[in-house]
Amino acid sequence: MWEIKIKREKSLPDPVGYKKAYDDCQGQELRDDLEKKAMGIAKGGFGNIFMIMFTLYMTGNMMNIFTIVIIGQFLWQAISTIAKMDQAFSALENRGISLFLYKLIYLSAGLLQLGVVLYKLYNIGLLPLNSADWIDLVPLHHQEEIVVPYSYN
Amino acid sequence: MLLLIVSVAGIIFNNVLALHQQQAGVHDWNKRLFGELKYIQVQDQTIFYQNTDNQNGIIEKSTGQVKQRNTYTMCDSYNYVTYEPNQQIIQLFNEGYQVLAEKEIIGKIDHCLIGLNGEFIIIYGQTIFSTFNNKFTEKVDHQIIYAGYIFDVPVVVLQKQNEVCIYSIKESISQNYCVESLSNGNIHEFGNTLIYQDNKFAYQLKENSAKSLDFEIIKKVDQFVGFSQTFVINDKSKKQIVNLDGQVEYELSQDEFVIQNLESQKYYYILKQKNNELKIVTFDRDTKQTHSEIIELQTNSLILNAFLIDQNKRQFLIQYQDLQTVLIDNKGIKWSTEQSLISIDTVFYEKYENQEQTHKNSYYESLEKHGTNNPLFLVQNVISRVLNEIRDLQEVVTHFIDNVGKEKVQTREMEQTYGLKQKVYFLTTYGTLLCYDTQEQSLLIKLQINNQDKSFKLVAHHQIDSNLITHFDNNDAQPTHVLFYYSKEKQRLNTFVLDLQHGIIQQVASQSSKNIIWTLPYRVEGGPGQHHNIVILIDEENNIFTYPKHDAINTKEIILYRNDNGVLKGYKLFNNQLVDIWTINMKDEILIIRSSYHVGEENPRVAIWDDRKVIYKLIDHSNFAVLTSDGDKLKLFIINAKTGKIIYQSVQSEADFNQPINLVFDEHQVFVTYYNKSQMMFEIWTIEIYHAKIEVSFIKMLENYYFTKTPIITNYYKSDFEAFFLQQVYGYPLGIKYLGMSRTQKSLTKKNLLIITTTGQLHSLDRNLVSTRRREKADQPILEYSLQSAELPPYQYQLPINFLNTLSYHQTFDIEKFSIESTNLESSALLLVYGSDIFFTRIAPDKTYDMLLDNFNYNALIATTVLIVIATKVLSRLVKSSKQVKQFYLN
Repeated sequence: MWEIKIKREKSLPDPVGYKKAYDDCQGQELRDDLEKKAMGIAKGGFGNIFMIMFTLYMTGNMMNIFTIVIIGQFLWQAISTIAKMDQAFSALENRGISLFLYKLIYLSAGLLQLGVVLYKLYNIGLLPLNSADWIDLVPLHHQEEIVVPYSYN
Repeated sequence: MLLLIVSVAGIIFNNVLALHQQQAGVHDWNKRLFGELKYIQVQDQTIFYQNTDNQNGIIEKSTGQVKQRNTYTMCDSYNYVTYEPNQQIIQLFNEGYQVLAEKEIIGKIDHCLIGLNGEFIIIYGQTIFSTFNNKFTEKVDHQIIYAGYIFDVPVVVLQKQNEVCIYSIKESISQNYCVESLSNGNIHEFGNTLIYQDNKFAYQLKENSAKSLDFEIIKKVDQFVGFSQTFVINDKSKKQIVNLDGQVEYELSQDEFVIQNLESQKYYYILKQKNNELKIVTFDRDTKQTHSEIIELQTNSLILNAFLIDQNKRQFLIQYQDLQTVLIDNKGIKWSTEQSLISIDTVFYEKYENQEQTHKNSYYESLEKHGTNNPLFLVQNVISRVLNEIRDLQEVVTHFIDNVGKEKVQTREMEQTYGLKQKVYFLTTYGTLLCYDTQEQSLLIKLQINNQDKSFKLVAHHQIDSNLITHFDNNDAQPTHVLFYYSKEKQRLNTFVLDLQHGIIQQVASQSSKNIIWTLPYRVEGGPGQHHNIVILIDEENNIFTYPKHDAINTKEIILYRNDNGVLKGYKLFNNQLVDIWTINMKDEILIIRSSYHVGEENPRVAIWDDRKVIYKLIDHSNFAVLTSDGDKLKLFIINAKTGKIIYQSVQSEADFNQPINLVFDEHQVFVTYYNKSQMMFEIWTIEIYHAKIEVSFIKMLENYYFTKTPIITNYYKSDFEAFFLQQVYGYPLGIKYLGMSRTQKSLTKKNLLIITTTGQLHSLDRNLVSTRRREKADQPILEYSLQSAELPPYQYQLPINFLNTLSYHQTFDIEKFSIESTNLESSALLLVYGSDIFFTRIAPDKTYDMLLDNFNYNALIATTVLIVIATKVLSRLVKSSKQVKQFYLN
């Protein structure tokens, strides 16, 4: 039986066409590549927004099963986008570039998505942001005194 | 195109038909009543009647049902005359066939006679119109006190200054003779002649002369007996049938009644009711022989009136003093009805006690506690709703499995549980208490309050705690009904207690008092968690009584007001004394007064929303509305009873005071209905009171009502307070006889206006349609802080009538008022409309959102669900075991 054992040594030259490992590369070129990749991830959320807006516009303001399913899906998508931020950038962690700005852009895209969905929810009347939504807080009328008219019945 | 129109018309017709077929007779029933009979005429299977309220109609002899109520005047069994008050014309009919063209008259027809040649003789006011030959109309100078026949000749009796004159109507009207009289005489039929009687004179009136009668005998007459030309006299406990000369023909006992409408002179029929037995005695005047028979008839009441229906079949129609009316013949009782329902004093309801009450539902408890739309409890409510639904489903499945192969689930029990089927009690002016099942119309209880005199009248009906009443051996704290009757003649207040469980009415108190002005139920607090209810009564001399007796009644502020001959007076009950607080002299005639306070009503909601903003109704139960008349002007005043201040007044002109006028005050809304002469239409005039405050920010709402508890201002004398009064007038194309409001248990369901139309139908009108907040134009922008509604349709003077909202369907009734009882379901209420007819139905102003339709099949739903589950399981197994699927997974 054949057995292949590969022993990598730093001293060995790279094969033809193989790029040098990143940790060996301290060059600007690699940094640029990483930043480009981070920016791509960060901006990914913005690409969806127009699609979300269009779909939500097309569903109209009527409450029905399709509206609920579509809005629910987008809401879930927006929340999961924000929740999965670290996961999205995990491949770029500790690679020598600061991800703060990209994460901020990513987060703002997620929040924008969420905002669009919430705006839709508001339009449908599912967000309690109107005074009318809190009407049950107003106490019922209570009369202290008894008033009795003549010919009482 | 034609096909399309036909299809649409067909669909509409089918829908309407389906609605009527589905609904009419499902939850509604009606009773038509003939009341206290004055006069009857029998023809084959029908009985023509006239009652003491001068209503005419036809009773079906075989069933006792009122077949038809006539608005026309009968001339004899075949001929009748109708009068159209709007057009002021009469139409004469012979068995429904119009025999004479129209004739214009002014005023109501008083009498109709048929002349010797078959001509119609119509008498209205002092005018006599005859259709003889070329017709003639003549106006007499004096009041006509009687119109009838003497030996088949039509006559009228005129009251002149010191005499009565008999005029015969043949080819013309001619005076026959006059006799001396006072001005307060009565005339009775007496065979083919008439008898005139006043406080001094008595005559037998014949065609051309009058015979003076023995005044001493006539004075004692109890009854005039038909063709036999005799009368029943009642003197010093002696009751006899005597003839004109005073000769005694038959001795009667006090409780015996002689049939009046005899067809022949041969017999007397004497009826006597005693110990649940009816004794009928037949007395042959020729042979002086008597024959008696006894029929078992369960009543303790005395006979009020009795009529001979059929001599051969020995059929009698008997009315007892409690107005139970029976038709009997030689085989026994043919039918029996309770006619006292024609005059109802009060109506109240009792829910059935059901063994299988539904479990307490935590979801609804939460809604009740925290409000239906409270976002803070949204999640909690959703979870409890789901859990409760699962529990309900479990119960249904268990019930279904338990009842497989047994009887269908009893909908009756469910209806009792939800209060859709209740017991309704009628307290009538005849002193009867009748209890019926609201669904099955069966008479459950009948009790009698003995009317002590004619002035004996119901003052009030209230519910109090039964454990306070020592007269009852009743330890449970169930509320007991207390009735207060006042006798003006004896100046006594009588208190009765109803024990509905045992079917007893008991008089528990009698005390001398003046006329009772106010009665109010009052809750006496007796320490933490303890209270009991009493009733406070105040008479016109400001004497205060309580039942049961209680001394301290000044724990809560009590404001009272009354109309004292055009002067409105306000009082305060303080230290068991009435203190005057204000007086308002009304210049105009007071028509109606209505309070915004309704007994037993739950605390209403103050805030309402419109297009996401919150507006506040201004509810103050110390406000009342007064409607007055000044010429053709209708004036409305809204007055605060605490301060005596007129807080609002407004006028409508061109009101017709001969047409019905209604006033309703509910929460913050006042509705007035009247006939507008210039618009020629009934109008609904709405006035609404709102707070100046409008809330558009939810943060403010949280600030005001969550983080702090800002009270809602209702007191008019607060200086920092501003109210908006809005008013609007709507034209209602149907006539309005009576206006009322629907009501539900928690007042959460929309309250519709319920209108009894002048044509005798019951119409439910959406309250939003008569709102004052409807904007003037559809394209008018609505400001943020405006009370105008974005959701209501724009203003239109004439209200649209949706005939599908006619609760009485295609039927018309003679109805005056209604009574509404809430059920345990918030969406539905029981509605009972009464007058000369009784109509009962269920109403759901916002549709039955909290109940399934009657035809919902739970069994089919469960069976379908089970089948689907089984089918899914079986199919998934089949799929897993199929070769193709196995192959797919292998690949």
